[in-house]
Amino acid sequence: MTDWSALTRARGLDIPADAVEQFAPSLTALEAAFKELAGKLEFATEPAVTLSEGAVLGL
Amino acid sequence: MNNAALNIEQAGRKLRAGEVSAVELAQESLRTIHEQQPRLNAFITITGDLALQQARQADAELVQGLDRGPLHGIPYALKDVFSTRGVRTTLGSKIFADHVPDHDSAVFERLTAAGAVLTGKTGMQEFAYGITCNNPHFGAVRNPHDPERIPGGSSGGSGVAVAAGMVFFAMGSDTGGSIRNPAAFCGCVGLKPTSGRVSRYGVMPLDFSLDHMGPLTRTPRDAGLVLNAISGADVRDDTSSRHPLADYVSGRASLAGVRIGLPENFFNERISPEVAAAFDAAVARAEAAGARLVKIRVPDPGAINVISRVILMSEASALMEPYLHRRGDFGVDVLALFDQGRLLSATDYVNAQRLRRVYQREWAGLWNDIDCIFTPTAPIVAPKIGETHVDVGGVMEDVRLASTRFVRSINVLGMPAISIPLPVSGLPVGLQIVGKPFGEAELIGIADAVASA
Repeated sequence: MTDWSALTRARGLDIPADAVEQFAPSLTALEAAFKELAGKLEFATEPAVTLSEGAVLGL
Repeated sequence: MNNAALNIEQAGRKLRAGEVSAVELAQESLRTIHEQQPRLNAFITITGDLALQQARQADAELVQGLDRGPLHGIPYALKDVFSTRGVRTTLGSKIFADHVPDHDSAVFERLTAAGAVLTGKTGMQEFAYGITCNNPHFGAVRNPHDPERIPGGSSGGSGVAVAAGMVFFAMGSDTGGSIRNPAAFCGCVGLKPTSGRVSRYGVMPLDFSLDHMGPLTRTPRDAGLVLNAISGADVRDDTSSRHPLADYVSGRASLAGVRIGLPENFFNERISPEVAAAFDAAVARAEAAGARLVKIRVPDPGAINVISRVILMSEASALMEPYLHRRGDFGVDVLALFDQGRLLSATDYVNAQRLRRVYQREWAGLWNDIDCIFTPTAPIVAPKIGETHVDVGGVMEDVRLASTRFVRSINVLGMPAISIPLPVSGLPVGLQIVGKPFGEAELIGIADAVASA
C-alpha cells in the first residue's frame, strides 16, 4: 500500500498534507482494485492508445 | 411561438412554411434564456447579437432559395468547452475565465455551415470534471424540474437549456457520462457517439482518449439530425475516424425483432426503486412492441470503471499540470481529483490502456447475439445540490460515482450510447441504450421506437 504523503513529499508536489489525508482512502482503494486487474495482463497485450498515423506523419 | 413545444423537425417545417422566421425563433429562444437564467443559471455567456445576426442571415438565405438543411435557422447552445473565435470559452473555470479563442472548434464550424443559430455557451462542471455542476466560479446550474437539485453533468447547462425549452438542441462533451447523465437528470435525450465519429478539434479537453462530443435534444431523431451535421473525418483530430457515415435518421422506427441485451450483472445492481420501476416498464413496453429480450452477462463494467478512473485522472492531471500551482483558482472538488492524478504512476496509466484493449475485445463478442443493450442511465434520480452521498439500495455511495456508475465504462469501450427520458410522474429517469460501434443510425432508430412505444 502506497504512503501517499511520503510519495507527495518525495516527488516535491505542492499538495498540502491535509488534502492528501482527505483523498488517501479513495486513492488507496483505487490502487488496490487496479493492481489486481493489472496483475492479470498477458505479457504482450498492446494498449488501446498507440502512435497514430497523423503523429508519424508529423501532422 | 413557444419553442419548447416544438422539436427541430417541427420548427423547420414552420420555418419553411413561412409561419415563423429564424429571427423570431432566435428572439423567443433568447427571451426564454434571459427569463430562466436567474432561476436555472444554464448559461455562462449569452451570444444574443451573434444569434440575431446568424438568424437574419438564415432568413435571407431562405428567401434566396439557399436551404442549408434541417438545422437551418434553428437556435442552439454550445457547452463552454467548444472553442468559438472571438467568444470567450471558459471550460467553466477561473483559469480560463477570460480565454477568447482565435479559432473555431470543428463542431461549431459544422453547425454554422448547417445554418444553426448560436444563442450562447452553457454552464458546466469546472473543467468538465464531475457531474454536480455546482460551479464555484459561475454558480450552481440548477435542475429545471427542481432548482434545489443538480442538473447532472458535466454538460449540465446544455441539459437544462434543452429541457427548459431555451434551445432546440445543445452540444455537450462526454468523458465518463457527461452528456447522458444530464440528459437523464433533466429529462431530455443525450447522445454519445462512437469514438472518432465527431471531431474533437477545437474542444478544450479534459481527457484525450475518453472525450466524446455529442448533442442533447428533445427527441432521438433530433439527435440524429444534429449528428448528420457534425459527424465525419477531420485531419485536425488524430482520433477522428474515416469509417463510412450514415444518414442518422434513417434507422428502423420499429422494435419488431430487435434483440435487446438485458444485463444480468452489474447494470441491475443497486438501483433506486423509482429508477427500477421506470426501467422495468420500458423493457416491458419494448417487449410488447415486438422486441426480443436476450439475457446477457457483460464483461466486468466495475473493472472498466476502475480502468476509466486511472486513465482519466492520469490524462487530466497531465493536461492541467502547468496550472496546478495556482491552487486557489481551482474548486476544492476538482483540485482533489487533479492532485490524485499526479500521484498515479506511468506504468499504471499504460497498463490501464492495455486493460482497455482487453475489455474492448471481450465486449465486441456480445454483438453476435444482440442489437443493443438496455440499462438505466443512472441508478438514482437527480440528487440535491450539496449532497455528497446517496443511499442506493441500502448502501451509501458517493454521488459522483453513483451517478456515473452505468455510463462511465462505455467511454472506455468507445461504443455509442443514447439516454432517452422515460415516462415518470416524478423526477426524470433516463434509459441508456448502448449500440454497436458506428451503429448510430440503428441506435437512434431503436431509441425513436422506444420513445414512441
